[in-house]
Amino acid sequence: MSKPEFSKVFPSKKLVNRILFQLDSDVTSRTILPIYESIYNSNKIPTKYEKNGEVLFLMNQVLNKVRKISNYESTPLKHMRNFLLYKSANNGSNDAIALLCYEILSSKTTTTEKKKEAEKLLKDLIYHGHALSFKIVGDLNRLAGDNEEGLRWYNKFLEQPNLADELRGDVLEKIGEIEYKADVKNIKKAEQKFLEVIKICKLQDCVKSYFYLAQIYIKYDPMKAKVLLEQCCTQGFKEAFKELGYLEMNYFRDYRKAQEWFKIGMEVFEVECYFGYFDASFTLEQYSKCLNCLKSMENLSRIDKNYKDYIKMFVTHRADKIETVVKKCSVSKSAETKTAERVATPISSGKASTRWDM
Amino acid sequence: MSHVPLGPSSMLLKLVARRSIHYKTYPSVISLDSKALFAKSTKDNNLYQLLKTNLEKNRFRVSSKDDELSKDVNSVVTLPGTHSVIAEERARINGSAPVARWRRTPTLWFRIIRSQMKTYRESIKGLYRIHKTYKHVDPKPYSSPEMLKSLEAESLDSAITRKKFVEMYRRSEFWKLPRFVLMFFIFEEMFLVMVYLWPKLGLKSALTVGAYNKITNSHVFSEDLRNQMSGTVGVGKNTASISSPYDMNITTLKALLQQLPVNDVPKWKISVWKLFNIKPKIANLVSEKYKYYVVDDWLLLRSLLDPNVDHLTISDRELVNLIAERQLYSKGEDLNQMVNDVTGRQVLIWRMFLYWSFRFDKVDVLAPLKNGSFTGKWGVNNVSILNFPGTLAEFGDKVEMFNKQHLEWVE
Repeated sequence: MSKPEFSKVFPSKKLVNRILFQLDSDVTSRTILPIYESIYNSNKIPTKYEKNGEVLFLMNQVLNKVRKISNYESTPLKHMRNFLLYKSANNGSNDAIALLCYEILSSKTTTTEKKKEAEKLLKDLIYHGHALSFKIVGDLNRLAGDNEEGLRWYNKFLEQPNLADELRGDVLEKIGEIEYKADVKNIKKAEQKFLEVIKICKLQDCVKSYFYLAQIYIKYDPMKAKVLLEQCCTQGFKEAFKELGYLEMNYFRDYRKAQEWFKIGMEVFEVECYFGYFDASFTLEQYSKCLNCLKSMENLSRIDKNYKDYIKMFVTHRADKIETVVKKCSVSKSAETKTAERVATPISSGKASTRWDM
Repeated sequence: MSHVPLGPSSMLLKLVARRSIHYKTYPSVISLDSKALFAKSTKDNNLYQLLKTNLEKNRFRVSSKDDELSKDVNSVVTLPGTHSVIAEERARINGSAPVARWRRTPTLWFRIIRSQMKTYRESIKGLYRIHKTYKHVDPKPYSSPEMLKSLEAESLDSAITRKKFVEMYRRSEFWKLPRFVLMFFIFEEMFLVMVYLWPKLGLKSALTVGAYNKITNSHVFSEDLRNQMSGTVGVGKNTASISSPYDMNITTLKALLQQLPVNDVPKWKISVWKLFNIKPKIANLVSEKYKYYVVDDWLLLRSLLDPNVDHLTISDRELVNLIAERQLYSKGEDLNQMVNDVTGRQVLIWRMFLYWSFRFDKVDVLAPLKNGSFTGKWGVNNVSILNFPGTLAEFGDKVEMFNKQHLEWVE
């Protein structure tokens, strides 16, 4: 099967320019687009840029951004991104080396020899004060479950000069997350970190911080939590739909809005959104919607065993409501059939009857 | 079909059914129907027992002497006095320094005005001092949601005390001063008459007992509204356990906010919000006030139940203010008179104790993370318990206040 055309797979020039501007790069799209095309078509980098690790890493960053913005990455773009990372690491980009080391060290399938080599490289980078490496060591520690050590490395990273806001925000978010999960008493520290993150980062880069802040505020300032959750939903953050739906339903008592949020949540198969949608529709006395929701739940329970247990629990708890729904729907159905019959009768028998038949 | 009147047995059945729901949902409600029912409803209430023991051991005191008061709890300077200036001056004129009969009345009025002027001077000085103290203090950590969050997460800054919290809240009174001075210059002596007629024009800390009584009487929690709100705690038909401010319609919310003593938003503003149907504004304000009460209660209980503190002494002014802010009084009751009378003071103390016992039973104010938090017990901004005294009568059908006749039940 032939490859699709480059212009159809690759994002628009306008978007690339915007990303380059965000990355504060002095390289223009006119330079990098032909390189992308060449890699895409023939897996080759033009000789002029073959040894330029920084430009290649920048191109990798551009693809990373594209992935973040669209929340999706096609296979050719993924291959291209990995290829660029590998090439830039080979050509002396320290950031690329550090990222590659992370990939190797976090992978379970890589051989011990390779891991040792990656460790050595990472140590060298840290010895030379390479900022990103501090973050990566922190990430690796966190991955291994050692949050305290992770925190230590993250703090070291924050001490480095001239950090990009995005990276800084990412690390602050992780620190906040650790604090938040470690102890409820640290809630204020975590809140401060998340607030700092949303101050310096763009919404799409820190949705998690918005979500955590909403979780912190939900009991004490529901209005603030609502605004934050709405922001999360604009970015398609899956967990936010049910939270916002329940907040609208149980606190703001806006069942229609709640129904809408649950509906979007149902589209991404968030099981609790089905429950919320059922309850909201029941309160609004939209019994047919309840019945449809129940049918969808039934279909969903066939797919996953976990869902099955959840849904079983839900059905047990809402037995009374479900009974009412079934009763109301059957009544309305029979009424509908009767009306249909009534409407249909004169039409079907119309030809035979005369006006005297009345 | 002929109408069948409900017989006494069916009425009783209805009542029992309602009661069973009510007691199931709110075990901490205290019954004021009989001594036996009172004892039964308070038997399992740990906080009630704890407060009672504290009172018996003299760990909770009320005093009017400044040097006896607990330091970080009281803010006497922001509250009006509990003694009548007129009565005090009259007693003085009749007492130690006898004044000739013919000049008694002018002397009495001269002294009353002088004394009132002194009160105003003290009040203005106090307000200015508080304004100056908190002028550059960041108000954010003192906001009610922030405070509640800190209290529940056990992360409240030790520098934040109840005194600072209430003073931060009461410091807005300072902005009454320019208006007060301006009106005094415009209306001169007439302004005093105006303050007498509309006591809210005056400074709160300089109010006379009569003016304060007028204000408290204007803030009596209307029985209809109280029953409507606390319907969720067993009275009436609504038996839902949690009711957010958004559950109420905008008219009820407006009525509720306008009669809340801690509300400082002008009536016209609330009316405009209602006119344009801006419900979130009013609902958010109600929830903010709700949290103010919770935080204030929490801080007081924390000081009282702290094992490291020997005793808690609050001023008589604070006690009156606590009762007035929470609307734990009936129409016609003079709180200042009550606080200066031994029995009346006991009644006020027990009203506060029962109110706390209802709200904070099974809430550990010292370690909420371990043993249960307030929001865990009552949910988020549960306005159904806003200023609910915690006591019911007529087998749960009527909100009743603790009174003199109930005092022997607590002995």
